[in-house]
Amino acid sequence: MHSLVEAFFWASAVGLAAPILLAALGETFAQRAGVFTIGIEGLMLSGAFAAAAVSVSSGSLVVGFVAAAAITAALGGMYGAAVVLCRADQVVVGIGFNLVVLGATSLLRRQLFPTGMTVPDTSLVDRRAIPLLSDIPWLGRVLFDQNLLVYALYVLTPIAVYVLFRTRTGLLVRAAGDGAEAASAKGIRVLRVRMWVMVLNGTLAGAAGAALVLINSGGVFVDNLVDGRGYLVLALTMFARWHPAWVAVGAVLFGAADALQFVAQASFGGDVPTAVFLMAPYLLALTAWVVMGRRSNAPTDLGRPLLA
Amino acid sequence: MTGSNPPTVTAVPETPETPETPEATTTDPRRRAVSRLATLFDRPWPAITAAFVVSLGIGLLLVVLTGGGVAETVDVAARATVGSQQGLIDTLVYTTPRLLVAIGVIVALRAGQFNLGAEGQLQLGAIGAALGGAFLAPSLPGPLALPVAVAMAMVCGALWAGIAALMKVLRGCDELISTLLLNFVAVYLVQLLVQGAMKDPDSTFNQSRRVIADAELPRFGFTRLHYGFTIALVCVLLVWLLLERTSLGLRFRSIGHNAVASRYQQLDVGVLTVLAMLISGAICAVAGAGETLGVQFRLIQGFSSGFGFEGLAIAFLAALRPGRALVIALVFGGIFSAATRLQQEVGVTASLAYVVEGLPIVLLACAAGLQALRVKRRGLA
Repeated sequence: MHSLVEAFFWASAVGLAAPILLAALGETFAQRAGVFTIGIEGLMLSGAFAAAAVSVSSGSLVVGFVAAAAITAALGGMYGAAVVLCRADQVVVGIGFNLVVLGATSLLRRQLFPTGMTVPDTSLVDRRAIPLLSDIPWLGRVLFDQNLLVYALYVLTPIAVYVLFRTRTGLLVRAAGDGAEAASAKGIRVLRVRMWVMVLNGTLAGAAGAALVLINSGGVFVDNLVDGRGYLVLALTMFARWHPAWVAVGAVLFGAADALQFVAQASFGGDVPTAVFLMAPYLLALTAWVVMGRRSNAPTDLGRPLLA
Repeated sequence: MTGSNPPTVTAVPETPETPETPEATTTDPRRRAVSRLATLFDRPWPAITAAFVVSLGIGLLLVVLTGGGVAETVDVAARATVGSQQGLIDTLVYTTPRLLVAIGVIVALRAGQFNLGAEGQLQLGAIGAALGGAFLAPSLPGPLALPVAVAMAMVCGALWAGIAALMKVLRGCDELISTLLLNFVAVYLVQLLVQGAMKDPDSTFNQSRRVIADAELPRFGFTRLHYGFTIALVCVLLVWLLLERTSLGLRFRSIGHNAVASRYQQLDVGVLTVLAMLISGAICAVAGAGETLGVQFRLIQGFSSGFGFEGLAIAFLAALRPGRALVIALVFGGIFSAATRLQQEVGVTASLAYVVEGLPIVLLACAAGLQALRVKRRGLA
């Protein structure tokens, strides 16, 4: 079992945590503002598809990444229009949206890229060691020999904490999800706040989807690539008590569950079936939930449209 | 979330402290959503039809954009549904699992339980059916084989749903998420079994042994339509009777509508929650059993192309009514049959079906939300 404490294992865990964390940060803001985005699965899938499609067509990974974020920002806005402006039921829209995205991405993949979609070069997410810091024993390899997305998240996560709890913007977001009617009566434009949060959620989910293609799938887009990671993001957001710092901790645990397959041979011998490792993140989420139990600090207006 | 720490009967004071609007004390926001769901989609038929027409129009547009002709598409779609005997049979075959899942989740949703785990429950149903039909049945007298296989499926599915129910009642875990996560565990459990413990030793494929002939669902004449469709119809009737004509159904609807008020009516919300989920899981599992015993005849990976979520979509569109679910399920069966035929003859991908099925839900949900807003505003004015 000693390979479970090796730097290699935890470095993989941190790397695999990045896409989940990125999406979960957006979802944390959305849920804090009262929008329960079951459709995050679909948002991530459309981001993954858009990133792969644009990268393959343009030959540039950066263009693909930006295009994915832009497209899912628009989709997040459309999703917001349904659940925020039209006051549609959030669970129902999520289920419908995920069905549509699954169908549309599979359809477009076969029609536009019948020979398959492989991103030309994934060097954007190659590991880049930070000089000096990466020389720290163990910790250096785990934290400072990572891809650019991980480094971006070292910055984004503290920013998310700061914005959510220390700025007026964060206060507006939390007011929109915790006492929305009171906030609305006080003159806060709850609908506008929720719409912006959905655009943010879409953007981050799309970027996360793009990262999934590059990091988890080695640059190849396959149908239903996200395969439930969006639901993991939902679970993570909720049992991390809607706090970005806890979300980050939870994401690394999911990454570790994902990374188990890489050390399987060394840790458990070769005879553990792959299905067990594929199951691991979901089992972890369920276990974590049973252990953590009921959350009492849920935003009171989570999942509730503003009828005012 | 309200499952834990229920006030006991003796705790009810002489003057009940129930507020005038008991819903205001419900902490789980989606509790309201569920009670709203039944009315949410209670749209007039013209509205539902209009949503499907829009969505079919977009579907047709997609086919045309990918190079199909309009007349050809319509012709193929007609032959795949009501235009030919084969089309009609295909439609009914595709309807069967979707209808069963829809009926199953209706039980849970009516009782206020957001069972999004139908996909997992039907996977477990398939496992149970394969266990019964391929492993247990050979040592049973012939006439018992099929009932035992179906019963095994129902038990497995019910237990799977029971996990989520217990997590909710004992630990307050939102069933919405736990059932979603259990779906993926179930899918990989099937993979695990067909690659390992249940793998057919005589086959190079990852699949279980074939179920014995006695455990197969009989078919109508020489068609590929199996008696699972009849079972589905019986389930429609039984669930309608359960919900509308029994006291248990009334209790389910009561906790679905307002768990707090139900508790003051001395209903054991925890037990009812578990019971509703068990029944729901058992019915969803029959969908998996139908595929194993009537279509595939073995446990295989990926036998379900997402029936679980399509069934949910049907339940929503049917406003959680069993009778309407039958109609909507037939429409969904037709859409899937048409999409499959279009893939073979026109070359468009069958996943077009998901687009055409998902769009009406989003459209109708928006319409319902705006309606609720209008009602609220009129009330305030």
